[in-house]
Amino acid sequence: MPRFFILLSALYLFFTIPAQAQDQDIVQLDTSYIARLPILHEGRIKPLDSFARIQLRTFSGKESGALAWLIETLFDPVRAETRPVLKIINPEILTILHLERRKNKLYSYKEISEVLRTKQKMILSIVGADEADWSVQQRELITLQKNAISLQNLLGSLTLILPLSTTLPDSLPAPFKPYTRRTLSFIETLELQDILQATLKDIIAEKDHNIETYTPAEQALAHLSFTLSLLQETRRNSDVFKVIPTDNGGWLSPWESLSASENTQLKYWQDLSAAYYGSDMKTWDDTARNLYIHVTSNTAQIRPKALNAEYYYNLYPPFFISFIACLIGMTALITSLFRSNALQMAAASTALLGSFICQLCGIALRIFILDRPPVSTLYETILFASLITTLYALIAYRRDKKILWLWLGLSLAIFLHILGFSHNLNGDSFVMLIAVLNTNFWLTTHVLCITAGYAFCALTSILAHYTLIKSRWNGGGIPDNTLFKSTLTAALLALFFATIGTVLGGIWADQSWGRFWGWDPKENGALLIVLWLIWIIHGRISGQMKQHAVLCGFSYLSVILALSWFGVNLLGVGLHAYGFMDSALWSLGLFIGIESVFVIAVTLPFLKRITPHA
Amino acid sequence: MTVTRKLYTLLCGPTLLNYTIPIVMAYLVTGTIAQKYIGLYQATHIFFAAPVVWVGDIIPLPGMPIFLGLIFINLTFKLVFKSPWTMRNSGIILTHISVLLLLLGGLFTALFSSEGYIALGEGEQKSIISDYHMREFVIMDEQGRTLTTLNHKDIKAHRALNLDKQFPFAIDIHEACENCKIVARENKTEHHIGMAQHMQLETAPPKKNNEENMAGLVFQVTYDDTHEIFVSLEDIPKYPTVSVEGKTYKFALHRQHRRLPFSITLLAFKKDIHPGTTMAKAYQSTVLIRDGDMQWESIISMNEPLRYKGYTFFQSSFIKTPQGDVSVLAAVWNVGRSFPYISGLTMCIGLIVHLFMRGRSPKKKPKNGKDKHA
Repeated sequence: MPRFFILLSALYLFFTIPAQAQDQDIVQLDTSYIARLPILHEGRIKPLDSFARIQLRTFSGKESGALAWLIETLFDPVRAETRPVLKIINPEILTILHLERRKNKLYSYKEISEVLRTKQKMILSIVGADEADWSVQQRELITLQKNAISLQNLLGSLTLILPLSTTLPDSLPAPFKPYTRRTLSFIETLELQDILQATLKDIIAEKDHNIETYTPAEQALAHLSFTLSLLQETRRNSDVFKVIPTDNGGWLSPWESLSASENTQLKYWQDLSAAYYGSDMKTWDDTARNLYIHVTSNTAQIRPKALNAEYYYNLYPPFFISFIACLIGMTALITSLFRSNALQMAAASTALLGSFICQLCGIALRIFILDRPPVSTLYETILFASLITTLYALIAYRRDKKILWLWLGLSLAIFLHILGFSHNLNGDSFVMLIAVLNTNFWLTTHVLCITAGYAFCALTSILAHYTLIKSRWNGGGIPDNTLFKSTLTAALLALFFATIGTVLGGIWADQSWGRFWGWDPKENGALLIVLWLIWIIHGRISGQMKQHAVLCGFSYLSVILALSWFGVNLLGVGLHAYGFMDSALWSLGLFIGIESVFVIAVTLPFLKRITPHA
Repeated sequence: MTVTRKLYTLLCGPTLLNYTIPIVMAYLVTGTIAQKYIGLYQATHIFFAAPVVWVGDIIPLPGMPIFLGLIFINLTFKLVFKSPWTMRNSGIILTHISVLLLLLGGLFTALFSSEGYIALGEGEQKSIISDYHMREFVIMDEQGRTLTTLNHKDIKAHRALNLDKQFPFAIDIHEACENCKIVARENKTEHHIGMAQHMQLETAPPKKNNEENMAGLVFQVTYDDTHEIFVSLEDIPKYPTVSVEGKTYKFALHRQHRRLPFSITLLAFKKDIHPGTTMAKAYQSTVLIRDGDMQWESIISMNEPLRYKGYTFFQSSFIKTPQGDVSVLAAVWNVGRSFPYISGLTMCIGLIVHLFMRGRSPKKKPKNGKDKHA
């Protein structure tokens, strides 16, 4: 046990360092309350920290220092405009936009907006065409345009409370006196705007539009008026930053709250702005805490514990920690190949156990945060499958005390973690469910069953791979009988869960769509796994398939699984639209190619050996 | 071995299954990929539902139903003549029975089920289901009563319709398309009436989703030396009309209708949206069922259908219209509905029993580490 705590402590230290590392150039503030402030984004109330990470990941593909970046974007948009956060990977887009290549591939909003402005004709012609006909470059250009618009929206979120660049001189008439010789914000000038317009009307009537003939005070008024109208025109549609809950259950952005009666919270944001510009840390901390308490205690739909849980989920990402634990375990196993001792086995098994605990905690946190069963998206199926395979490997290791289970458990966990990370590159991994999925019963029964089926298919396949490789290593003899039986047990469990899951899916479809079976690609994919397993198992029972052929069949189950789990989503048709994806075709093709070569490579020598006796 | 014996062995043994399953899998993969290019409706008809699949319109191959039928026969023979009906084998027997039930349910569904939809605005009452795919050409009297109905698929261009003698006119079809493209008419004559004066129809490639196709007809009605040419487009509420011998006849082209033995009125439609998005969280219809003298209210929501007199109504979707949201209820009549439920339960029990029995069975000592099938 002490070794386990040492490992966990090491992991804790390892992860807290990058989480705290931030861009030194950005103003450093205490963000513990700001990070947990609730915001409504994409249908879900989430902490501001999650929102910042999602936004920055969408723009730049990274999320470190996201909250500091968001604070700067909100409170100092002029500076944030010049910060390179928009990523362009495709060199052809750079050529189109006449931008130079950069090592980090990041460009500022200012740079991008200037060049995009010159390409509006091209962008309009792309938008006018059918999306299915867009080239890769066109798609990426539109994505860049969308990201630039989103960033612009975000940059303008708090401009109504930020200091304006105009200061009014003392020489102005009486109504303007309270506003002179100090920084003003848009919101402070609301009461002033009617008088301002009337005064300007008089000035124009007297001196026309020739600003050079105006006095300095008149010029300041004209500049203020121009700035206010520009802000009103360009920023009033800033609606992404919905941090102000209303009494009727809605959420408003600061600009939206201007036209609503619900703008009392703007005072807190004004104080935050003043503290930010005055570098007043104490006011910042107090205001942030008061704002957090005010919002969370006055809004029934907010679950503060869930906000906290998500904040810590972001701070100590359980699946990343689990991945590192797997890597440590794998390193211990690899070193044992050269010189084996008990400590390496203990380290590997502890790492696998640590990984399992992290995964379990991660899934438990996700259940608590989302308030629903853990599996409803493609990403979540990978997390759950990884949990099942790790658990099975741990149980098998405890039962058999064979190092094989550590190898298999850790290899599969590492593979599934990487697969999971690759499915969580963009957007929010905590997604809201469409109406048909909004049922806890079916998400718990059908989805968990079918995902467990996927997990056991992966286990069956990797066991078959290992058995075949070991057989070849030992000169192509008869595969190890114990290993063969373990593979068969995993295959039967895979068949059990895949079949029950498929039938339950059919019953769910009957309940919600009115038919048990509709030949939808996802349904067909699940059926394909079941048929493949039935075929191999019956081939084995009937004796028509020899042990080697059965193992090859189980080995190739990985391809059937990949097609069923991910491949059908590439088709982009059918009722399971929530799983669609448009990338990964080449990765899937490569995987199928490698697996096919493997099966052929292990089969050919076997065929050559039996041919003379045939 | 006699032919009968060979056939018996084939039908009772696993050989037939081992050769059939790969073919079923091949159809499954091909039909699934084909959905991307020709849509679900076409792919289902070609690869999964048709007993004969034509390769390049020349070579006939047995379709998926034939192979599923073979699996059914194979499994029945095995269960009756070959399977040892012992406690140890009970899990396998139960699982095989459940597969038979599932296939049987599939057969019943394929032969006897029907599905359609009802689109209802708030306050609207209907007792007719519209088919998703089938269209029909209807001749009605002045009051809108149906006089005759023809399946749109049976209507071919450049042929006359075979009408009953009660009709004092003849109809010749100029154009019949399952998915029509509307083009401006250039050769307008005095015979072209209504929409036909301005448009003609051309056959367009079918859309992937059959529901999106717009069926149409261009037809000529001949009576008393009068020729009138009309255009009829699916679900266009203004029907072409002729008056012959003092009677008025209307022509309509619409989705095939089936009458319900009761009526449904939409009292209220409610939808919940995830805040800040356009994504529906839940939606439900409060309906009033009227059957003879009886009437009662019921709620239909996602995953909570209404079942009555063999019909099941599901909350399928909704359409936004200027007059308000229209609730779309899917309506299904399926005699094989209970089969998957019974089969699923049997299969679950069978597989659990099998895994349990397998775990309990005494372990055989391997002969020199060799597998008996190796």
